[in-house]
Amino acid sequence: MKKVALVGCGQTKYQRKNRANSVQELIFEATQKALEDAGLEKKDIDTVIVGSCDTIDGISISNAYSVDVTAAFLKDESKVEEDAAFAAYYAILRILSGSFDTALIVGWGKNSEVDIHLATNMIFEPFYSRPFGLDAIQAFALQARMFLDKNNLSEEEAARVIVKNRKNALKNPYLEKRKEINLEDVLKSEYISTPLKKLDFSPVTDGAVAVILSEEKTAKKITKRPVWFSGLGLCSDTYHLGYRDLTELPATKIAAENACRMAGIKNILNEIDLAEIYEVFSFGELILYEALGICSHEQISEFINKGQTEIGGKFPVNPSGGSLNANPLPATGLIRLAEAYLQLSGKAGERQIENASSALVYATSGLCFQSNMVYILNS
Amino acid sequence: MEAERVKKLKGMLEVPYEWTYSKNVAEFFKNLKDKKILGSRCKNCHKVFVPPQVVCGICFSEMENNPIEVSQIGVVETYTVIEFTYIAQILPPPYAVGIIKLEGTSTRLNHLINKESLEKLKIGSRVRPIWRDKRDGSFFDIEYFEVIE
Repeated sequence: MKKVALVGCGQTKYQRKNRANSVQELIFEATQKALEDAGLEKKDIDTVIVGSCDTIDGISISNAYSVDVTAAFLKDESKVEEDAAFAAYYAILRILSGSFDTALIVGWGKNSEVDIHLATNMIFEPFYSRPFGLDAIQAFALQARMFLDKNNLSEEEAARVIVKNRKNALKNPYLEKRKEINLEDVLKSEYISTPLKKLDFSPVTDGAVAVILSEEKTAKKITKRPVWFSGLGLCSDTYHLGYRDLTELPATKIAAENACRMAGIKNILNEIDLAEIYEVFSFGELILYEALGICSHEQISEFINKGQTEIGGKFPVNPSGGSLNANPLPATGLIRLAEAYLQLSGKAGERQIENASSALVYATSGLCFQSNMVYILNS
Repeated sequence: MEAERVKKLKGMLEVPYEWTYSKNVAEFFKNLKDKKILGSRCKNCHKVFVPPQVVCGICFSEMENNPIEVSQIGVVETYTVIEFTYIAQILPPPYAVGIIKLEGTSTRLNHLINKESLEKLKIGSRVRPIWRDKRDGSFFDIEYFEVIE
């Protein structure tokens, strides 16, 4: 089969309230930086796929508005209305079709421009769920309560995820500086929707990210350190929260198993060097440890308590700081792909994991991990 | 300050919709007026879906023609007490939302749990609906669920 590689990426700063730049300026900045990183120009891009959210942008079919700033003018262009990491999947398929050599994927979210609770309330269907004023925070809170109860875990394990990811974030130049916090700070902080506290989520974030993919021959011309896709897995669960098992995440498991099978991975912990996962909220990272096959549910507590997923641990998860520090919906999953690319091409600066040559990337769309995208990458 | 010089446009989207009910969803809402809760049963696996659905996603099979009435006693499978405020809420916080499985059904519904129940509320609590006196065939004909002693 043809091979597809990541050959460049660009990120804006992820800020809580960017009042200096319009969303178009952010998209342009990320796109331009990705082209510069790969040493390419607009003419070198064959197809552009973006990931954005019409509700957040406040404009229908919002990619119509972004054509010029994503270098897509008079080009093959399309969009996914889900996390932008899913756009990369379609870009890979386009390249594998043989019709395109090089693809640009762009994701953005200027979440400070909308009431983000209301934007996520719109994800709920209007008959049975939206009228209660449910939003993403409440949905994840329902999931967290079930997860705690079932696995006999405490809020302390989730607090350790926050402490770890906040510490990692200090090494990521794209993030706003936030002070390092300890376990007690987290546990003492106020609840927003029990058992979740404000610190269990990222602040509302603005930002954009772009990555560039190429087929094998082109990729080798573009860079000496291409990062190859060796496994892909995509799987969706049913929509209604009440029809799902919110703690088992069968669709996440299938996506991970399919990606690992394609990549020939039998044991993630032993065969992969790190993971960049869109954990959405602190408990999410713990839920995903099991669902992605990183550890069993009996091992979750020990895994986080012993620092196995810290930078320097056996299996670093989210050395970038993850989405607890910046969550510019729906670009966040694509940021994970960009960060994994930086790690495997040796460009991750202070947060670089030494000798990293393989990574698992996870992105999700919808509520409580309904849609699941897993990539296995190799340098 | 540069940030203060920057102009922004304030806007608000108000878009009216009329969403058509599927047949068994219409039956469900109509029966709430009579204090009845209906579920739809999959023709293939016989799982009972409450609230009703058009198809069983697992089997990709249609539901049986006539929705069936189900028990009104349920168990709280998970819940959250909401402490923050935003504009789409219908109650002032704190209030609780639960995912509730009614006896004899295969899926769960979301609903409010009343303030008086909060102290005893836990996963596994048994609950029943409290109906409004004036009902108009909406999900709010059930005012909330309350924990049964």
